[in-house]
Amino acid sequence: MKIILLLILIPLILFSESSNMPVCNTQTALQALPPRIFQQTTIDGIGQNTYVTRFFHNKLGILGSEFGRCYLNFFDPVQVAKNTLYFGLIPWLFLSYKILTLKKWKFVIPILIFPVLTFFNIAFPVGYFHKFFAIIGLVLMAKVKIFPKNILPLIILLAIFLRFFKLAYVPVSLYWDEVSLGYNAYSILKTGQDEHGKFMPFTNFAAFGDYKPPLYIYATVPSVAAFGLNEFAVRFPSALFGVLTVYLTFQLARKLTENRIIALIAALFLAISPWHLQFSRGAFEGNLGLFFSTLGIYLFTQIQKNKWLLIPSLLSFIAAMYTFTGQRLFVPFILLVLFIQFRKDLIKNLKTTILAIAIFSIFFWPLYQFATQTIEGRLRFDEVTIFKDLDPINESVRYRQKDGLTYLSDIIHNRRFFYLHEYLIHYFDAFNPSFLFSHGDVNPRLSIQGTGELYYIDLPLILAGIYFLFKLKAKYRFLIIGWLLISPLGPATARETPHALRMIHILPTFQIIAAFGAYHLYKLIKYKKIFIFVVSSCLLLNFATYIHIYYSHWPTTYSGFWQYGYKQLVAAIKPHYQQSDSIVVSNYLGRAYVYFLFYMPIEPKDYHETKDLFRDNFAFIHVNGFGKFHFIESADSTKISGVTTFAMPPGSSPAGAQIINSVKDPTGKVIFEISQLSK
Amino acid sequence: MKYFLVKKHLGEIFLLVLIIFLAGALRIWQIDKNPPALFIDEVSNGYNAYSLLKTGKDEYGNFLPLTIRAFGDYNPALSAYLLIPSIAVFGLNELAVRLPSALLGTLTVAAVFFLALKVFQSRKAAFLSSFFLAISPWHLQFSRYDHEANFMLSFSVIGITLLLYSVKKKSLLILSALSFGLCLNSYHASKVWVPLIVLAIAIIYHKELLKNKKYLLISLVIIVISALPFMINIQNSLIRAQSVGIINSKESPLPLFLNGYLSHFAPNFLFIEGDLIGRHSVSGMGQLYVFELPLILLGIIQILKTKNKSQEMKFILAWLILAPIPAALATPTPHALRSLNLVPVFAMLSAFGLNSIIEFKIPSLFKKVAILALGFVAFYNIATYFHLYYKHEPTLKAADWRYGYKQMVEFVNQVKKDGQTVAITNYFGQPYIYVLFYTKFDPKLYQELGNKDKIGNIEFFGASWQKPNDQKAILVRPAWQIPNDPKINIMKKIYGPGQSDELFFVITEE
Repeated sequence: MKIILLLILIPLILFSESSNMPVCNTQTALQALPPRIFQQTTIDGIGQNTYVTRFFHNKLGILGSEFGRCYLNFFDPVQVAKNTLYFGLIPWLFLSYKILTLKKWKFVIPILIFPVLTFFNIAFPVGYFHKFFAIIGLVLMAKVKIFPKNILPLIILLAIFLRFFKLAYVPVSLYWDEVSLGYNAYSILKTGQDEHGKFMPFTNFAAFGDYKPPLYIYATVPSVAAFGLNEFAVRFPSALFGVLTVYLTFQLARKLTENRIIALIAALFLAISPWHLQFSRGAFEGNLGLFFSTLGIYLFTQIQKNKWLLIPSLLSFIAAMYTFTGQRLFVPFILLVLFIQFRKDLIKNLKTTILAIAIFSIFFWPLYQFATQTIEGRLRFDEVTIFKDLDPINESVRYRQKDGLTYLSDIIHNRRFFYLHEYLIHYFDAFNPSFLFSHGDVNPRLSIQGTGELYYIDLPLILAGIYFLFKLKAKYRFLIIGWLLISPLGPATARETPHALRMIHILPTFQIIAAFGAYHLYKLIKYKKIFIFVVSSCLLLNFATYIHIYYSHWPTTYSGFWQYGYKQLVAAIKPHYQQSDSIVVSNYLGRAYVYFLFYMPIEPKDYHETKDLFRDNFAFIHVNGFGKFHFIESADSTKISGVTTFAMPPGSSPAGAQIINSVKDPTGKVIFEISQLSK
Repeated sequence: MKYFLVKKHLGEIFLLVLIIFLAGALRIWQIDKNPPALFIDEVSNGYNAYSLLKTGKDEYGNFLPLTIRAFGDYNPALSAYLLIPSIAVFGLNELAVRLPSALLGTLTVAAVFFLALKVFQSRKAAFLSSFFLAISPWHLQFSRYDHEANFMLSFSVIGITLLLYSVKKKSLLILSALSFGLCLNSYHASKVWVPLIVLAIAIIYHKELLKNKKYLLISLVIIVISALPFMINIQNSLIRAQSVGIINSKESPLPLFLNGYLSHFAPNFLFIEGDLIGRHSVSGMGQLYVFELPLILLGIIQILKTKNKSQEMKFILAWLILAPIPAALATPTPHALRSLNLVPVFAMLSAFGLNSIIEFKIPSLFKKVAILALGFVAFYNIATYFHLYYKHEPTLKAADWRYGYKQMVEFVNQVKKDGQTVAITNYFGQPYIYVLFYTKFDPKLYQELGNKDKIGNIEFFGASWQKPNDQKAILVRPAWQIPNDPKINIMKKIYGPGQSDELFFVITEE
């Protein structure tokens, strides 16, 4: 266990970016000398004994202090922390403390001499000194059994680090939904109304006409209040609840497997899972929904201890359904599994059960009304579901016609069978190994491409885990396997499968199963050290590849999928806002308006008063403009008067307009041309 | 306490009195001349206190305010109320404005003696602690002028000391809570600091605190009541936090916080360079003496090494870790004022380090050499500090302290004829408050005028000023704004203190 952690932490420290120290050598010290002496003697020299002046302002003293400045720079805690990814500071201090208290003078002297090298222009990688120092400290900490006692805080710290590090910069920019969530939260904060002026929506936020569930937006309100309207604030709830989910996984796995070590491994696996990291690092409602459904399941498993926990458990499931649409087709199924698993306890406390279900129904009712009885609520489901496809019907008709429309053929080639067939194809997609292990979701917003949703090493561990779950007759195997199998039932109704986001509630079953497998394999195998070494180095290799692609390649390669450029566009237009009478922006990348609302930022009240929007046939809401802004498809359709600033795709600025600026994507391709025209 | 009432220990009482006397002397001597001038905030505080004394209202006419608006920073009002007695006695001048800070600084030195006595259970370490604080450049810097941060420090040290003694004598808990309440109302940073340190106390001393529930309840009520003034004005109280807080910065707040936090432990900040803001440190020195570096390291190691640490030692470590947090939540960092709570900890750590050298069981020759070398460096350090502080700082930092306003206002006040217009540049910031302060302008009259751009015949201008009529007017401008015109009658040039050739104001008549 600690070896795995070490193997993850050490490269993290070693390959983190080195930060540079200020240049400091004999030359800079000598340069600093004359001005200091001059400055000090000019004030001093008047009416004072020369020896006194020399005593206080001798060259030796000043050189000494300049030398001290360089020397102590080396031990600047900010530098040490930057070079060791902040958490490395703790082992760094630990090692220093140990060396000093154990009186290892033979180490102290070289360490104290190192900084002198920098002083004499001897090239010396200072950053690496700190890195190695921290790593040795880390190994020492592991050896003196400081962290095996309680490894959970370390896992949580790792989870925090992986979820919050550069949160505002990777993913590279905010995509539509994130901005929309953020601006709706801002609007709620300022006016109590959503972007369309509806007061405190309960079942849905209309947003783009996609009728977003409300809870993520309400969760973002305090974050926007605290951090302002920016990337960090919008993503903060997701990252925070992602960390909490890791903790919850530990608790849940401990309950389900009745083994603390397996629980720790499961939490670690979730902390570094690409699937979970992907959605914890963006404002994805699904991730908050996952937290609530996991909390619901965890609380449900506790009802043996305290029957009243059933109520918060069901409320948590309600919260999940108010957070993410995908949960609405998961909660009923998982409740069924849970009811079967805990049937005895539920029947024993029948009154509590009935009360809890009553409360559940009260809160569920408005959502049920909205989702099934209104056009808006049904629209999105109808849009994505396979059951509105006509192909299976046509297919069925074709087969039956070939068979001559016999009675038997009506049964065999019944359209329902065709739909079932279609549905099963989509269901099995969820367990497609290529999706799980090698490629991940095809949508570059939902996975980084190039690594799977799980690590390769998870494959044998998961298989082993399933084997051991049944072989050892684990107490809660029905719940774990049931959870795994019912998770794709909902997402399989949609056309796009496998879909990592809609199926996010399958987490953390894979991690718990893999942890179960890993633990029992370890118990079984004779060469334990070799096993640990092989597993952890495979995991490490996988993890390193993932982290590298995530931070170095993915942001630039797929910036378009994150609507990169809108923020830069708003920044480029902002200086011209005051002087322009109108600002015309091409809508060719879609939904430009919300970025202007978000990044300007526009007061929600002003927006409510001046917005100009229309609904299309699919109930999507398009914004034509507000205030000075106009969003259009092509440049010709505008009537110009006064000073107009244009933001157009390259090459399509209106004739006669003067191009003043351009916005490029990370690869250098121009996405917007900004021009000005006055009449 | 009883210990000191025994006759036998007269020598030690004498030593303590001597240290306190030294602390007082170092804080009060030449306090009106050095720092060389009253800074804007001091003047504003002083005038507000004067206004409160004369009319019961602040400069904006608010009756007994809970926060002082000043220049829009809405400080807790205690900083102004504390100046009232000394202004009543000494009048509106430098001494009166700075004396409360100096006295509270001296009181802090005394409090640290008792604090260290409780923490280290050693009189030697306690004497050394208060001595180190008495001569600490960091503490001297802020005890020698009027700043709320020093009030915060005093009240928090007194509160903590009383709290540690309340384990034995329970009624002290209430006094301690009162002191924390005052601390809460002294400075912006204390709104972060007091909750943090009270939480640390609650965690470390929860057993003892829960033993006397009655006093605990009263204390909690006191603290909640003292939090009311800023809770009531929460909107205004947050203004300052919004302008300097890290959350409103463009960079992401977490690394900013971590870097800011760690920068307060940067050896360069502590021992070589000091705070880069001129008023916060002596140039050419760190916040502490260089010779304290090994002592502090040793002190920390000694505390960490102690097995079965006493609660007090754990508390000192918590204090050390928590103290920079208020400063790290704002920019710029490192910031010697917002992290002022570090000062007594460093003094105590130095003292503990030195104390353990003295008590080490090492060959006496070795020890003698070490102490001698340390003593030599210490002597050189301390001598250099006082030399720099008294000889160089007044000249070097004249601009930082807004030197020249006093001389300018007094001169103008002397030469101007009745009804003559005076125009003063606001290039150096907030000239109105200096005019109010040094002309001892009637607060009641000013509250009625309520105009920061014009007081009587005195006007303040930005880039340039247009003469309203043909009469001769007195103009006050920075040197570079004076046109090269022989007809202009230069009345006086205001230079920096002593022999300085730094030119601040040129007073002309046109």
